[in-house]
Amino acid sequence: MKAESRVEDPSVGTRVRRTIADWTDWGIVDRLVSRPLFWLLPALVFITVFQLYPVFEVFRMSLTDTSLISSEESYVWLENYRRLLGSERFYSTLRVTGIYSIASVVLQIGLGLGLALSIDYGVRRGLRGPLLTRVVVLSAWIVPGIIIGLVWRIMLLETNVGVVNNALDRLGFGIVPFLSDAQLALFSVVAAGAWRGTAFSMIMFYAGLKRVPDELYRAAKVDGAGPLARFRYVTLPQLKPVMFVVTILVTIYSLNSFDLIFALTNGGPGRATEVIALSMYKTAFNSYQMGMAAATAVVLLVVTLTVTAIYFRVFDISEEI
Amino acid sequence: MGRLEIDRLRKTFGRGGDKVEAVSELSLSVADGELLVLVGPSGCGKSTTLNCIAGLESVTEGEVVIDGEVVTEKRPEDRDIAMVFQNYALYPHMTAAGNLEFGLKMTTDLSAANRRERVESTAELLDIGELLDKKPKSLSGGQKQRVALGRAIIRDPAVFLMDEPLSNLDASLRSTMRTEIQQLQDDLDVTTVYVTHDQTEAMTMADRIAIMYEGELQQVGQPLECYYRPRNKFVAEFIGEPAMNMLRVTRRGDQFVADGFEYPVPERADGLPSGEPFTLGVRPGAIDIVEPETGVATGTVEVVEPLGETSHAHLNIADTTVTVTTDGPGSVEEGTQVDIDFPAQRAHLFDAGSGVAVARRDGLPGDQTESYPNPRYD
Repeated sequence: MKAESRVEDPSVGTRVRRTIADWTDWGIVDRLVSRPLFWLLPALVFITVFQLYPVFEVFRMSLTDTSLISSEESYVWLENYRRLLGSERFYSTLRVTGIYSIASVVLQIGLGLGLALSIDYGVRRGLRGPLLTRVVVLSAWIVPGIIIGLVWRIMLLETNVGVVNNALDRLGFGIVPFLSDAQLALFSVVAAGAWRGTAFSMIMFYAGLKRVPDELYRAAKVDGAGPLARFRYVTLPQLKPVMFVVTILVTIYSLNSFDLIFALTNGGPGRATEVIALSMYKTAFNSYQMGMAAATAVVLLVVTLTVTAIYFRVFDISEEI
Repeated sequence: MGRLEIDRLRKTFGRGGDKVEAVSELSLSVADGELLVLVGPSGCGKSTTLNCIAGLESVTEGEVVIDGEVVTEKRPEDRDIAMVFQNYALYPHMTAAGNLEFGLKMTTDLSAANRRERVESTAELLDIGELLDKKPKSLSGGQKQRVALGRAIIRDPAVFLMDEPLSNLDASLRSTMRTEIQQLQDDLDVTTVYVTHDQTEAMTMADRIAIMYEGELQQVGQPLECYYRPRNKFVAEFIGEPAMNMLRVTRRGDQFVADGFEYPVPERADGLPSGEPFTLGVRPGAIDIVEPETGVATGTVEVVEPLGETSHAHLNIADTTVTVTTDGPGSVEEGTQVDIDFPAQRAHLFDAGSGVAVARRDGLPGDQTESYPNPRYD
C-alpha cells in the first residue's frame, strides 16, 4: 500500500526522497528535511564562503603588515589603525566622502522624487511621455559606473573638445576647469554621481507613488487640501517606507562609491575628490600596502554600519515593518 | 441647506476617435433633504456624474447648481459638499480623529480645541468615540465606514455624495449600515446623492431613484413608481429581483400571442395596433401557478431554487424560460407540467423595437387612481 502510493506520487520531492531512501534510513531524511536549517544551508554556505569569510580575512589582514610585494607577513595588531587615524590623508578622504555622500543623498532623493512625481502626475493624467522619460532615466542606471565616469570625463574635458566646454565656448564663456579645480572637481563628481543615481531613487519613488490609492487624493481634494497640502499630508506619509529604503541604500552606495570617481578624476586634483574607497584602492594597488588598505576597509564598514544604525533610530518605521 | 440641480450635464472622456461619452444630457434636481439614489449597471455613468457634482471631474457641458449657485467651475472644497468613497479612502497614517479633523483643518480657521470638540460630537453621533485614537488599519470594515461617514458629516455640507459606500462590506453588515445611513440622513436632513449598482439598496433607501444606463437617464421616480410603472424595458428588467420575464408577443385581435402563449389584451392596451409585435413583461412574483388547462400558457418546470418561504421555479414555455416565484417547498416539482396565469394589471407592455413602455398602468397597487379592475379576477 505504502509502496503503491509512493509510485503514484509524481512530485520531485518524493522521487528525491525515494532515491535517497534506497541507501539510507527513512527516518533520518524525514527529520533532516523538516528542519529549517536544511533549507537555509545553501544560503548560509554561500554567505559564509563569499561574504563572511572575506570580511573576516580583511579584518585579520588589517592587523598585519601584508604587502603585495613581499611574501612575508607579520601581525602588527593595531599599528595600521593608529597610522590611518593619525594621517591627514584619512581625514581628507573622510571629509570628501562625507560631502559626496550628503550631496548624493540630497540630490538623488530630491531629483528622484521630483522626477517620479512628474511621471506619476503624467500617468495619472493619461499624458504621453512618461514611458520615454522612464526609459531615458533608467538607461543612466544600466550603464556601469566606470563608463559613466569616462563619459562625463569626455563631456567635461577642459579643452574645446569637451562637450560642455565647447558649448560654453560657443556661448562666449571661457573654459571652465571642471576637473582640475579642486572645488569644481568635487562638484563635477557629485553631479555625475547624482546623474547616475537619480534613476534608482526615481524608480523606487515611482513604485511607491503608484501604490498610493487615487481615492486618497480625491478624498483630500474634497476635504479642501490643495496640491501642497496633498503632497504634505497624503503623498509624503505614504512614501515614508520607500524614503527610508532609498535613503539607506543611496547612503551606503555613495559611502562606498569607487568606480565612477576612479574613472572621472581618479581622486584628483591632488586629493580633492579622493573618497575612502578610492584611497583604499590606491593604498592596496599603488602602494601595495594590503594591511593598511584592509584597515581602511574595516573603518569604512564601521562608518557605514554606524550611519545605517542612526537612520534606523531617526526614521520611526516600526509601524511600516 | 442644499438643493442640487444638474442641468443638461454632459461628460466625455478622451478625444478624437477614442472619445467616449460617459454622461449625456443629464438633468436632475434633488430637493432639500432628499435622498436620491443614482443606480445602474457598471459603466452607466453614475460615478462620473457624482464626480462631476463633487468637482473631481470637469464638466464637458452643462451646469451643476447647488443652492442656486452655479458651481460648475468651482473646486471641490468650495462647493459645500462632502463625499464618502467606496474604499473608505481614510488617510492610513492618521488616527480616526485625525481623519475626521482633516477637512476642518484644511477649510476652516477653527482652533485645535474647537476642532476637537466637533470631532468628539461627531464621533458620539456615530458611536465611534472609543475608536478616535486608532489608525484605520486596526479598524474593522464597518468601523472604517463610520469614520468615513464621520469625515463627511463633520463638515456639515449642503450636499452629501456617497459613492457605493457599502459595497465593501459583507452582506449582514451591509443591511445594518444601510439602515443606519438612512436614519442618519433622516436625522441630519442633508440632501444626499447616493450611487450604487445594487438595486436593493436603491429601492430600500431612496426617496427617489434615478436609473442610468449608458450615460443616459432612464427614469427618475419613487422606488415603487419605478417598480410598478417602469418607463422602458431596461428599467423594468433592472429593478426587481429576480428580473422581469420578457416575452416577444404579437397582437392578434384581442389576444397577445406567442408560441405556446395566449393572453387577452388588457383594457388599457386596447389602442395598440393589431398585427404588431410587442414585448410583454411580467414579474416572477406576479405569476401564479393555476389548474391545468385554465392558464394562459403551459410549461415544464426545469429548475426549482428553494429560498425557504418562497422558491423560484424556472419554466420552459416553448423554448422561452419564464421565472415564477412560488410558495415554499412542495408547490411545484421539477419535471412536471404546470399552467401559469397573471393579472392584467401586472402585465407590462413595451415597444418591440425601442423598448419604451406602452399602455402603462395608471397607479400603484392600493392607489386611489387604480382604475383598472382586473377583468379576469374580479
